[in-house]
Amino acid sequence: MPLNNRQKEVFQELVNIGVGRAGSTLNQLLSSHVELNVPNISIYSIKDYFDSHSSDEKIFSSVEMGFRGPINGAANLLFTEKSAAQLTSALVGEELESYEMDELKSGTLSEVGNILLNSVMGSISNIINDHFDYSVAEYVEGTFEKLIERSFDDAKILIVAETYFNVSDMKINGQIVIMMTLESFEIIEKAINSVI
Amino acid sequence: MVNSFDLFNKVSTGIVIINFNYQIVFWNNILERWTGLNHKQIVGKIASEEFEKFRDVTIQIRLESVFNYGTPVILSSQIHKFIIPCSYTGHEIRYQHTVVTSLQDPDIESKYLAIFSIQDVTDLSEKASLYKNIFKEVESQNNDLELAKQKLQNSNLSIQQIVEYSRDAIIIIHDNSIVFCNSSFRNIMNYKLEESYHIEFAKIQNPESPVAIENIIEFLDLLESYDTPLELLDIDKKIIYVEGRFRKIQFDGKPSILGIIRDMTEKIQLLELLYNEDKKSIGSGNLVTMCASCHNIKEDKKDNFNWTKIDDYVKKLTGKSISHGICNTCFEEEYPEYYKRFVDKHKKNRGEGDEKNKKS
Repeated sequence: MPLNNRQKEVFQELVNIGVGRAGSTLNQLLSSHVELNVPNISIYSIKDYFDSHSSDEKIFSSVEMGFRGPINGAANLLFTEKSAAQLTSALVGEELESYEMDELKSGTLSEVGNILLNSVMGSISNIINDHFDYSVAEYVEGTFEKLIERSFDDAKILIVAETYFNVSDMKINGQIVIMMTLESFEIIEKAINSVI
Repeated sequence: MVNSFDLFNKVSTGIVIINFNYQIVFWNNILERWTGLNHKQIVGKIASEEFEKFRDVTIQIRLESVFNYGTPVILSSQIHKFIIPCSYTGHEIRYQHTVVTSLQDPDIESKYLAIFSIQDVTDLSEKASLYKNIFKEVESQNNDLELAKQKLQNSNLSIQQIVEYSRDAIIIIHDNSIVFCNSSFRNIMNYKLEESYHIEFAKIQNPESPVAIENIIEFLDLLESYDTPLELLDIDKKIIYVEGRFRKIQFDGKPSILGIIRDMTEKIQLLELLYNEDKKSIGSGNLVTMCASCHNIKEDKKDNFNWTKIDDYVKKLTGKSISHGICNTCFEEEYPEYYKRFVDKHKKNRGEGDEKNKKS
């Protein structure tokens, strides 16, 4: 199912446009300068992903947002617990410990995830030339496998975009994970082909 | 229209609904309570004219996606503090976590209404803040403790080094066993490190030693510290003459005895040698023995001897009495200022005499 290189480049560009717009919004909102970039995108079928990645018990902090419409699926912004704490501290300018990732801190990450995922999905909706219905972004924690399972039952395609937040001289690593049905992916592929 | 939102009066969060033109179309009773503004006063007014946050361009840009596409937006308390200023229980502005969702606007085609669902998270924020302050306080105390612990460790290390490399032998006795000894003690006793643990003190004492460990313990019940000569036996059972200073201490939380031991063996052997040499010289008649300290002269008296003052000895030998003066060398060494004045005066007197002679 993977896209060819040219298709992948276009898709990566779409994500980068969304991420760039999110970065601009975050810079307006926050006192700290935030720079976002997505150096790499990988596309897997769910089966291939779990066949090639061993099960990991590492706990992630995730902001997940479902979408429905011409394409169906869910988008997640994932951080390791440490990265989540670092990012929140850097954004709100306070030292936080991972145990403080309570509802208040999850609120910050929810807003950041909401901005980022809205922007990325906005880019995708632009190329499809249609818009989606979104669920409210929700903060959840769990292993990668559990988070994917709970986000979207019918997921067949997994798009994983490594994302770097450069904020307050720190480079914080996160992942944008978009999962969708095969049909949804084919719609995107078709839309990409129309602009190549 | 307002009636269709009545359901929002049954929820426990603050709800305000605005349309694409920022006109307030619904204001629920929770917000009435929080702000003191009745819905009749506020509905129909323009949110951006009433509330500062709605004039914020960044928020306006984000709300555009709500009005145009119905995309939900989150406005967290960390980043925005609040959307509608409320201070219903005190003077401080309440913190709010706001989720903006959408509903198709029945009056404006292809536009959405923005439903602001506002949760008061002040108590949570304050609890988190309190928790964080407590944590910082504990962390600060932990840091102080860690620093003190580090200092203590360094200090202990320094003390251990001082003790280990002290020229005096240092031992700690607990329950009649040596539970600690330094390198000087091991050197004196010819012990290797591994041989020096838990030695029974009674076993290394010469049985003929004038004082036994029991005596030391008895004295330490009466005295703060106790100084005594001791005779120990090294690993080859050679007698080691020592002077010991003992006092009670707590070591590893146990009542123990600290012993500082100085090896006197060489000194005592030297004294014995001098004593024996002296004994030999008594019978020879060729030597006069003088005390190195008080300068008394030793006189042979058959099998015994006396120490006689040097004055008496000279008088007895020569018939002359002794008078005391001071030689130039001692005068200069002992009283340099007086010596200088004496010499100057002496020279001056000699010079004046010469002048008088010349005149006459």
